[in-house]
Amino acid sequence: MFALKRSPETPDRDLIQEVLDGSEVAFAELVDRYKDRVLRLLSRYCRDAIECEDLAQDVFLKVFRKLHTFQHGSQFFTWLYRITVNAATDHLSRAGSRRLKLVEDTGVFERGCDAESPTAPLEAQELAAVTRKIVEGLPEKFRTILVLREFEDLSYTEIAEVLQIQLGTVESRLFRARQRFKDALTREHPELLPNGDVAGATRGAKR
Amino acid sequence: MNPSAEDRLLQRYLDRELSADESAAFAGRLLTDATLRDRVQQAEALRAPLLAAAAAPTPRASMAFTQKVMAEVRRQPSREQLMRFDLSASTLRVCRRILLAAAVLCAIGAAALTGLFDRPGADTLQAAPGEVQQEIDRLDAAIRADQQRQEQGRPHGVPRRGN
Repeated sequence: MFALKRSPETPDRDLIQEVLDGSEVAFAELVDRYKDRVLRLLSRYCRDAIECEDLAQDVFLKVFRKLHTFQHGSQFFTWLYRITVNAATDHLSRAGSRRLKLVEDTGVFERGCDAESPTAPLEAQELAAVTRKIVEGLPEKFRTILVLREFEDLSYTEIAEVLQIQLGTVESRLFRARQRFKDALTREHPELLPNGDVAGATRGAKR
Repeated sequence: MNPSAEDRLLQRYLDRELSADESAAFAGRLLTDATLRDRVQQAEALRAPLLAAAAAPTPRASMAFTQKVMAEVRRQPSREQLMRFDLSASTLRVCRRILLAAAVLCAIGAAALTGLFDRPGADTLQAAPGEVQQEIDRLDAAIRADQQRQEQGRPHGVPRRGN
């Protein structure tokens, strides 16, 4: 309802200035604009839909409280992603081992998901579930970089901005994350690897 | 394991991070280099599960999400207050760091003054009374022997020092 009050082309920079000048409507538009992306990113870390929404709400509150510290040198969404990734990793460390005991509750998510899900082939869904499980098992820094690159489709420069690391570090961390993913896939689901790559992946695992 | 230059190039090609010229050069190499072509195919195939996961349905915010956030936002202090909080929080952080550093320095100084860093017994001799007497006797014997040697070796008529 808030988004209807303003042109969708209003740049983030203008909205931010209006929020800093005291406009609530402008902040509501920022929330409307980014809520699905934030929730999607959080869902890569958190299985429970309600918990995810609570986290997303915390993220936007933090954004509101800290908006005056945002430097316009970077894009607003990379700053927002940084706050989101930090909230997600904090949540993971707070949850600790509890998250491992969480029952997979994909049904909860699917109720609020894209309409195409019921028609998606079962094989693709299984593959996605297996992949998600493997990515969740990776160390946090590898998991985050894979999520940002493969799931959120961020460029190297955007990843560097979100994680506040050098471009070279993005490349090497991404490379290692993919190696780890490949090793885990080889161990747990070798049937999903491309033909003839099991030996190669095993060599990678030993390195 | 750190990626080699070739690994980085291949990765950047697959991630569409090469410039148009670099990408064209790499594509040219693919036409002639079968090994490289094989590596690219394997890497692309490995990404299939990741692409499947990326394409999986993701949650959408509920209809009331924005209203909930805005309700919380309205409970927040004004922008001026938030900025003041930030300023006082950062001042507090700096003060806390200074105090912590001062406390550490004071603790080190106090420990040094009370001799906490001295090795126990480094400047004292500890021995049983019997051992001390034995040592005194040994030194006495050594002095006497030395005096005797000096007397035997000294020419007649040379007065002893101190006489």
